[in-house]
Amino acid sequence: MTGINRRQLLAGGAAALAATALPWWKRLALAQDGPQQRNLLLVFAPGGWDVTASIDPKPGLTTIDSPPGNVRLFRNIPVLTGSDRPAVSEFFTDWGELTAVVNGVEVRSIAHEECTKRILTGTNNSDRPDMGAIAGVENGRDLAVPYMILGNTAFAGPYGGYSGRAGVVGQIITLLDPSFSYSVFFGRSTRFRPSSDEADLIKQHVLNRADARRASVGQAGVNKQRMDDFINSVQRRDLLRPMLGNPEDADLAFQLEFEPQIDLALKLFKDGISRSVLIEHPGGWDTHSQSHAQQIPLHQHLYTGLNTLMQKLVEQGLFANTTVVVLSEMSRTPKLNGDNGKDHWPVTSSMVIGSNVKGGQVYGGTDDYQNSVTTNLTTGKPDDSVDTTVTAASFASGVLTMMGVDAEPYFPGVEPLRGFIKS
Amino acid sequence: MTSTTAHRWASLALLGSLIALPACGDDGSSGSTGGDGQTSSNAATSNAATSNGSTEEQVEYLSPTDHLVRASMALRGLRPSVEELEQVQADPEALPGIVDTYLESEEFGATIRDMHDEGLELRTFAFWFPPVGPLSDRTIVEVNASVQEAPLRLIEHVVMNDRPYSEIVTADYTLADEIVATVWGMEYDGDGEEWVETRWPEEDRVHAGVLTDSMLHIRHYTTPLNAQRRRANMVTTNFLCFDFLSIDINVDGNIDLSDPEAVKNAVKSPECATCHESLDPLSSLFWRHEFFFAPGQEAQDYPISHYRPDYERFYRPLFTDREPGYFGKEADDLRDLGQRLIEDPRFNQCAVQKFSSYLAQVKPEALDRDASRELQATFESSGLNAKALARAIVLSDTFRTRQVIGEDGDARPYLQKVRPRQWSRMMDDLIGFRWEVNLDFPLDFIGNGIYGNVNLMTDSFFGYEVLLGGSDDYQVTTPVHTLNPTISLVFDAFALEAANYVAERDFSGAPASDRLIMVGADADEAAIRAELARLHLKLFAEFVEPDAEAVNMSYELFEAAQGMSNDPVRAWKVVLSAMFQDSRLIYY
Repeated sequence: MTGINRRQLLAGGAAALAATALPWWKRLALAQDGPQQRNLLLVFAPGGWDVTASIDPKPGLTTIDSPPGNVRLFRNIPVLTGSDRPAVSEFFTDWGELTAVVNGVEVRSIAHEECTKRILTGTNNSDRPDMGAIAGVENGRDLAVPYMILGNTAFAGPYGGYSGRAGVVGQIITLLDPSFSYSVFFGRSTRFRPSSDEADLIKQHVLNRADARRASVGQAGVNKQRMDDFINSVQRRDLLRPMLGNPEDADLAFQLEFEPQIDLALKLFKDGISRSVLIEHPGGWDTHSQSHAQQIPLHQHLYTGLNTLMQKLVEQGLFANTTVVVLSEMSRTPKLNGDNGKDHWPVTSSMVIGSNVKGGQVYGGTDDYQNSVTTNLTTGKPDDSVDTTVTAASFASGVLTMMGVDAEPYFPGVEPLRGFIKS
Repeated sequence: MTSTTAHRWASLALLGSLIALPACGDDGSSGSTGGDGQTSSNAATSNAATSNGSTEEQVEYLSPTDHLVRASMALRGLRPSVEELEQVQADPEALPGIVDTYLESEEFGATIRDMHDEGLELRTFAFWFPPVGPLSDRTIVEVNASVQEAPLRLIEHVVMNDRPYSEIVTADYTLADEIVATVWGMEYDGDGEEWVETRWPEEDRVHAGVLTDSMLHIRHYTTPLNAQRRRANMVTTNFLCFDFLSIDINVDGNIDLSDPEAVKNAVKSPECATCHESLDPLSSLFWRHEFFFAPGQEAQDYPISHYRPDYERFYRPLFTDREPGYFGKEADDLRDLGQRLIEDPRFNQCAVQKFSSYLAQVKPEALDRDASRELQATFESSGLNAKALARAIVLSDTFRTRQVIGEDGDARPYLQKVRPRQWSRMMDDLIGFRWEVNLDFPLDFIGNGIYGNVNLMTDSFFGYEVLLGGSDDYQVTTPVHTLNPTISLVFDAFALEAANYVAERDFSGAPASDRLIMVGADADEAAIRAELARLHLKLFAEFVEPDAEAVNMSYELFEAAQGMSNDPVRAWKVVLSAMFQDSRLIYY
């Protein structure tokens, strides 16, 4: 493990902070001056994780085929752990205090595409913006790309003009630096390279023409939005240049590896390019056969990346103002199928991590059949006396509320899950 | 290749696991411009009351030439020719006749394919068919593009030959080029590139248009426990505009999933039966096709077959006890499914919705119901002629609306953003430039064979299709119809590449027929202004005089650039770089 973790922080570099009576994360947050606006990092594990393999443990039940492991309690979070996935224990040892586990999130579908849409947007409408898009725009609409999508599936909805993509093989690099363009790669050095003054001329001409057009054709409705998006995009695209960093270090395949995505996400935050970023764990979580044998190493890989992510957030001074949400569109069926696999299950779990999170707790829950249980959304705790459950909508609404966004316009009439929000 | 480059491409090996997975401007102000630089709008307006009648909205219509641009782009992905623009400028009544010629063009056929791919999602980066055996002299791109494209070619064939649109799900034939025929072992009597009618080789295999195309089944693969439901839902979503997945479900957690019998019974529970009583009989129609079939790197030879008639007998009883059927009606095979689909009133409604939504870039829920009913009547009275439907859509008042003053931000869009494939066709036609790279070497992680030629604007894997707001038909399936900074970066890079190519070509003695710029590097101001005015017409459909304000802006750009470099060719590159990313090309 590289970098510093919580224990090292407490013992070493942050020792001076320990003089106060404040909890360590709060000292850290206070020590790390950052912009008031919070960054949102969505970590998406596509394919459907088996939450009984870690954060919703169900050992010893005849109704659920649980992966092997031992349940350990980290603060008040029971987690299924094992020597074959030490990163899980390491993560909750170091960061459990700041982590809220949300179990029993109902997505009410068992198809990947549909569930992905629901867990990210909180709705069944692909035209609606997902949590990243909303938080990015509401908290950083003036940034170059308020919502950067480094993963694949995401939903910008009406905020398409505020989102951006990097490309499945890092195509953005070939755009930002002409020396890495495809044409140069393959011996056709044909791109015109204007001087900075010439580039300014080009840009200004494009903007002047667009401005005139907006004045007539873009006075109202979606037309106006599209012309505004055009002009804003031309104005902002050069702000992406710092994203490139050192071209020599750029990796064309960064999107399909976890750590390079983490590094780029943090760079986007640090450089003030984006307020929200979606990254994707490159696993194969859709384990219809030999599920336990596959889910355990996947958990090890995911949590190794999460440990790295958290350490880097601290090292780069981003910890205090970044919230991480880890989610997967569905979970796996309680019982194994004939191939020792697990199929799609419409109740999943998520983790919310950050200094603004009432961590060390589990919110929501599932019963012995892995169905969602009724939950008091204000406290986040299972409650037989209410008839509400944690839905994708209440979860998304809760995350947005935690991010300081008024979620009501996006989720009219939906009660946010507030339990994990630190007051 | 440099070591850095080699390193970068080596890193792509990590992608292996992924591959293995399954008349004037449209604004009246810069419109018809006289020699004195004054402008006058050609756009008509009318007032319309809102639904509650309390607030009036002012509807502005496009000028006839801008209407022609929008129709041409929507139908063909090409700008109108200068001659067509001049014809409509002189006589707006000429527009419908020109639209009729568009409907007969091969580019309209390409649009039909693009439109249907948006729902069928066939053009993925999953390269399941390696160039091996008799196709070993082809590239990975060529082989996979042909196989993926086959169902879309069938739809195009039906539409372009004025056959009833319903034939797309009933045709008693399929379509193949030489590659497709080789892959599946079909008879083929075309010239190689040509797509011709043929039949699936298996004697007992029924034909029902795209419903029986192996590629459609391969793309929409299933699992034994899924029991073909994914394919059935793909059909209802695409041809009835009804998506079972939009319905919320609750699942009983106490089902023993290792017991197929328990799974079969589970879908009969009251909470599940609502959908499954409809979905499962439809699914039972698909059991003659392999669940998941991806030849991949193991394939060594062609032909191959995806058809598994025995599955119906052996596997279907194991995983479902629903007899085949169609929403309570009898149906025994996919041929019956095609017949039932076209008898279903939702089929025609769905076709109208798909065409209207695609051609106007409007979400289905934002379509006007009354207008849709009228279009459906037109469609049905034409004998389900898709050209008649497309014609009615692009000639409608809604389509030619420029904007509606007083409308809020949630209203329907009128300004459309060019799609990646439209952009590629349009710029190839306008300036003779296609942004391509030839990856003429093998990429081990993809499989056997040379990768092939990549059109960067339309390729979703190495290229920029997804960054441009397009789809990869797999993981990114929601197009973006506006601009953002990364999309803008792609257009900027394209413009710089194209400007360099065009200027180098045009100022180095290329024949006039191949050139965009017709003046020499030593042209004087008058000649340059005249040339700029001609370019404004050709590229932007702007009828402007050499001393119009729009030309003044372009000439000032040229002058400023020349002042910086003292190089007229370089100054033209600056001008073209700006023109090739103008909002008039990106939004129509």
